[in-house]
Amino acid sequence: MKPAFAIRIAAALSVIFLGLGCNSSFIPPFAITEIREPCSNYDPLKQPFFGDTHVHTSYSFDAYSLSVRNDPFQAYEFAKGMPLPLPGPTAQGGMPQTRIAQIGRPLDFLAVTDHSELFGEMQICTLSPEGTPGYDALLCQQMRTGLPNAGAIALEWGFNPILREDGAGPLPFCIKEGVDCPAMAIGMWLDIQAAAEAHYDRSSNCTFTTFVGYEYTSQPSFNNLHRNVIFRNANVVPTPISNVETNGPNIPVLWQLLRENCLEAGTGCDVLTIPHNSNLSGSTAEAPLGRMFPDPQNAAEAEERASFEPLVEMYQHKGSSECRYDRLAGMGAQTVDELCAFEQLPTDVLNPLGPVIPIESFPTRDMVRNALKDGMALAPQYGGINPFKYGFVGSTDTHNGTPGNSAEQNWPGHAGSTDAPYAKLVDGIYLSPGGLAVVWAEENSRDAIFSAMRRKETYGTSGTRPIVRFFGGYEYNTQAAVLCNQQDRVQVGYDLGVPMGSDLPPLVAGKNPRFLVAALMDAGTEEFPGTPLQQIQIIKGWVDAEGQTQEKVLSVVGNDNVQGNEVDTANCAVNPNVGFEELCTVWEDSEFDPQLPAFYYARVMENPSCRWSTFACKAAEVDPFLSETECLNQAAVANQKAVDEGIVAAGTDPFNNCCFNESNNASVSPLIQERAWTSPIWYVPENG
Amino acid sequence: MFQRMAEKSKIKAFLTSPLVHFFLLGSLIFLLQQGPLGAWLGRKSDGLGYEIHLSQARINEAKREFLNQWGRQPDSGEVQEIANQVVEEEILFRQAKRYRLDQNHPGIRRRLIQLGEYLGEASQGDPGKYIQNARTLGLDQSDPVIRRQMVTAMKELAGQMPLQGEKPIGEADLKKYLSEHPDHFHQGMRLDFIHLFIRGKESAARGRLDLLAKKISRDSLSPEAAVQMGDPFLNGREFSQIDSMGVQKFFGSGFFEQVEGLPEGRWSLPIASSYGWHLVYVKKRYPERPLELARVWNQIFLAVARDRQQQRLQSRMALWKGEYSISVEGGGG
Repeated sequence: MKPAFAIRIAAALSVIFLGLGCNSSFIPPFAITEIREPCSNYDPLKQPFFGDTHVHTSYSFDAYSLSVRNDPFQAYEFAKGMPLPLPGPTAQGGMPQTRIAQIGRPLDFLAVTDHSELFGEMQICTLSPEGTPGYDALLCQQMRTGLPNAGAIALEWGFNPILREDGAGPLPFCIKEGVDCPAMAIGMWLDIQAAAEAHYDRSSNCTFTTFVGYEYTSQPSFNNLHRNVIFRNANVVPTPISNVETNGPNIPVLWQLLRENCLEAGTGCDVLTIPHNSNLSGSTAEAPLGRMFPDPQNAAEAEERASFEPLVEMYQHKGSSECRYDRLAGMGAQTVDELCAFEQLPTDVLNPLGPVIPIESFPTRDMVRNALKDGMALAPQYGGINPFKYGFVGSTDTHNGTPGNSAEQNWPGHAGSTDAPYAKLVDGIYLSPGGLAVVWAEENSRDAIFSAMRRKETYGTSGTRPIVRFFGGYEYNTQAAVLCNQQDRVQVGYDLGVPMGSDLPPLVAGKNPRFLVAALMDAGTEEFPGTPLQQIQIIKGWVDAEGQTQEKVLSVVGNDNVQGNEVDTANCAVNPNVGFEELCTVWEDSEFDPQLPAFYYARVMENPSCRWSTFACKAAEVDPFLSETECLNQAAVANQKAVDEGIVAAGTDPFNNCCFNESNNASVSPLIQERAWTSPIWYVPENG
Repeated sequence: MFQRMAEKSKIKAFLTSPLVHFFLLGSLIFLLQQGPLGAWLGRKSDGLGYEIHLSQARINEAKREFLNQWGRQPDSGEVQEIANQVVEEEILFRQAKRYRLDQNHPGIRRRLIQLGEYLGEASQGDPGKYIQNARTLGLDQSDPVIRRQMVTAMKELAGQMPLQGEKPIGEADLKKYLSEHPDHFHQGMRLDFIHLFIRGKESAARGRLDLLAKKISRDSLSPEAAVQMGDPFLNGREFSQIDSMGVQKFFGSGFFEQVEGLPEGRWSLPIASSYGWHLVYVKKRYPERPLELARVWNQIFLAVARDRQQQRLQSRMALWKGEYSISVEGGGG
């Protein structure tokens, strides 16, 4: 090797290994735990990065049973803008793939999170050659062929590893002679890591970031206790810690094993867990308020939860977990906030056949806002540790391998053949395209984004891409017209206060907390322009002097009512002249009591726009905006057509769902208001 | 004379000593093993054989695996490829056995222990005996998990062994790779720009922007001073090395197309975005360009190294195939 060549090699490697770029004295504010080039696009005031932290591919047993054949490699390609095939409505065993999906705007980051409990079984049944021990098991044959049907297969596969209350174990064929499911699971886990590495841009372009992850799928008696396990870098656990490894629903054991095998393994591993669908976590006698957020056993468990779970996935394809309101009953689950009648499922468990739960019986702490309030009330019992101090993200939970596919206008569903258009799609009327996770980070790299997730400088959206800033402090100029028109308002936001996800700074005597909030509407695309903003609200939760939790929703800027002319119902075109491209204000809490703990978060509301079901129904020639009678007449024609085509069984009437509206359904309407939720800012009296 | 006779006796004794005979015989065998005869001797003696017969049943099995994976029948070209893969995997497995890659492989060892545990109680917890029992029954040859691990290990080894006459990767190799893959190392146009923003899309906003544009020109304001007169833009007022995707993200669709052609050092005419009106001042343009070698050195080095590993494996596979007698039932269809 020539000396000059060797010197070049050494120079290139040193740049990479030291990660210092042009300015060797620059040290970013986040820890660097991996080898990569520093990003050329770095902003100390941070940039919004849009991503998805909940994605299933053909490596998940349920997705595969639904004839989805897009693997993690393809999921990353989709996130970057490439099209992918999807199964047709009658697909079985992976055939036929009749549809194409593609997002209009790429994502900035992505974590593929397949169900870890069945990695070994999936490796044997779907990715190994014939002759592999276990390959000929009946369950394997069923998975590959899709017979008898996807629902039966998913239930058979899911029962022992996921659905039991009293433990968890592998599929029966795993204990047959010669079959080694745990060993085979490692192969799939390595593939997942390889996919993440192959698509992670480690160059200074920083165009796309991937995270290695999986889903911990604990679902005892259909009570959803799922978490997405997200790793900071390529140093991950040797094998996923699934519901099988914890021997059933035992979240503290999950954290304990993650601590032993990751945080304290000495490998540079770091990890967090993101719970989702608390709206479907049900309740038990031991956890009557809700099973996702039970009272911790002790301070240590409270601290462990707070450490491992800085974020909650508050919105996704199976509904919103922010809060719950039944507009037909005229009441909510510990709320009077009518905007909580948004994307609510009728039941409180992850079972499509689950019972409809009346609002008065709904487990209150299954809703995140109530959990946040309860967390403040519980903190004194745990030495001041608030066990439910969650920041917010959204995600999709796609089971198509199509991350970020959250646009209402052309949503193809999220579950393979089971919701292929249009009849089967509208049959799942309560489901939705899901949301997005947005992170404020200095650059698009793993360390920067993961650090932002840890400090909760994140917000979630219901699928659109508004830009939202939220700061809290005591010194902001309350004249919004002044501060909102300052060029350096974001710098001021950081200098005089804290961003979303933080605790307020120490109290300033005689001053109330003030909050600077600003939002830009989603710019949209040429094909699907964005929807103007309607208003920004601030939601305050606190614990009063009697120890009771309270909440208040305040409209702080914009229109606090629907105007009525936001949408052309004939073609779903959004009126660009109603609403706001931008909103900004400074709000002061004049009712602030420094003795009482509180949180504040911003909810940014867009103007009404057509729901995905309205687009699907209109495509099937059923108009949800007609009177109920006229709508049902059209639905009858569409139902018969779907039966005649063999898409749905005789006697079923999925298109009747198109006729849901404010007068006959608790939450579904032809129009929705997309929204974003910032992570809260907390006031902790002990912080002074 | 007597000394000469004594020396001849010594030489004769040396040459007729059994030790010397053993040494010479051993040397002869060693030398023979290095040549073609040695290869023949080796082949005859390792028990793995050099004949591979691909049955129609095996081909049909592979076709079924393809159907299960891809949801359709393979075409004729794919069938040929499938048959080739089956043959190559068998070769890799046998070569791995010849290189004794299974001897200290932790995964294979664990698997053999597991297999041996099922075979009987006599071994009573002795891992060594479990392994021995499994090998005795030929499970080290037939178990699919072990076979897969052996094939993978042999591929890795073959990729790491330099070929005869192979030179280390040099700058010329990297330049050649870059010239052959220009699309992979290519950067789209990027801009450094600052912008003055007026919120709102109504005519009043446009009018306000026009007035500011005139003031900027009249007062010869610097770009940094000029933007202070506009409204704050939540996504920032100055951008560095931003590409088309970044501009679309912060300004909406169509904006990049309006700014990409702007000259450096001058204010644009008013440009509309999803949020209002803008005057854009491009400070620097980075044209679309292929990336220079120094910039992507590491990426290309890794790519060339990967290619070289693949070439080594392919070359070795070609050599090995030449040593095997391969037959496919029915021609492989």
